[in-house]
Amino acid sequence: MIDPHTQLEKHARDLLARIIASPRRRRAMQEELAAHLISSYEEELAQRHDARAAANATLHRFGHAADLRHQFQSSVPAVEYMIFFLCTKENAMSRWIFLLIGIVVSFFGTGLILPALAKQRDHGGPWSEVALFLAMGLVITLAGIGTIVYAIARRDKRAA
Amino acid sequence: MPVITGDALRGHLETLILSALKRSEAHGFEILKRLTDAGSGALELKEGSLYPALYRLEKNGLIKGEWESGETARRGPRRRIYHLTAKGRRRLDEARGEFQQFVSIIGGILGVSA
Repeated sequence: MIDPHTQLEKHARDLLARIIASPRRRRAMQEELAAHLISSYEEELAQRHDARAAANATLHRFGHAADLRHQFQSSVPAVEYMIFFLCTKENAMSRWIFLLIGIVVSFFGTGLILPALAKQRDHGGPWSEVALFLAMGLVITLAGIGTIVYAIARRDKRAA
Repeated sequence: MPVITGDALRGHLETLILSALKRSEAHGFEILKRLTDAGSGALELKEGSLYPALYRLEKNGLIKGEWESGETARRGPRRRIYHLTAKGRRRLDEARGEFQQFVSIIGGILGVSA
């Protein structure tokens, strides 16, 4: 039989495994829940003198995992949720979101570069007049392309 | 005695936690014991529900939690000790007033004395 403390710590870990939050927050929650479960278990064990019954009673007192998961998820700050939603490996949508962001950013970057080049071609004048737009456009376009590459790399990594 | 369970407690849990912490700082398990004792067995709360409520309160700056250390620490996973902040104290006073008003109005409509 698994040691009840180990079993309860595993319960806390499993309960929070699918919560979208920073690893730091999840670890903190996990440790706190495990401490609570162990305290409950010790209380139950003192009354029942039966490790298995005490562990079952502890889990019953704690509540149904599916209900609690929803409550824990809603306690995570919205910004943190958004960031880690995008970064969660298990999130199948995230690579498409990165891909979409990359495409939009690339278009925005080229939207700065192309009019600047057209202006230079049509009206001439010193390059310094369009240099700022070209530089900004280039940086933004590269960032967009980088995001697209990252999205594709994530997809390949996931497929592997 | 009728037992008050999750649905009836919803919406009041955070205020109950603030009230439990007014006496002194406490970790989650102790807060639960205080609530259970204060409810004389009539409160039946799924223990896991306490923590999301604590995290929401902390996120809103009403309580502050710190990991136990030194003399209070024990073997195994650490516990977080929570205490009321000044904002939490103010919120508790407001919530008491709001609840008193609620009981007085609804009690009047139902024809029961508060």
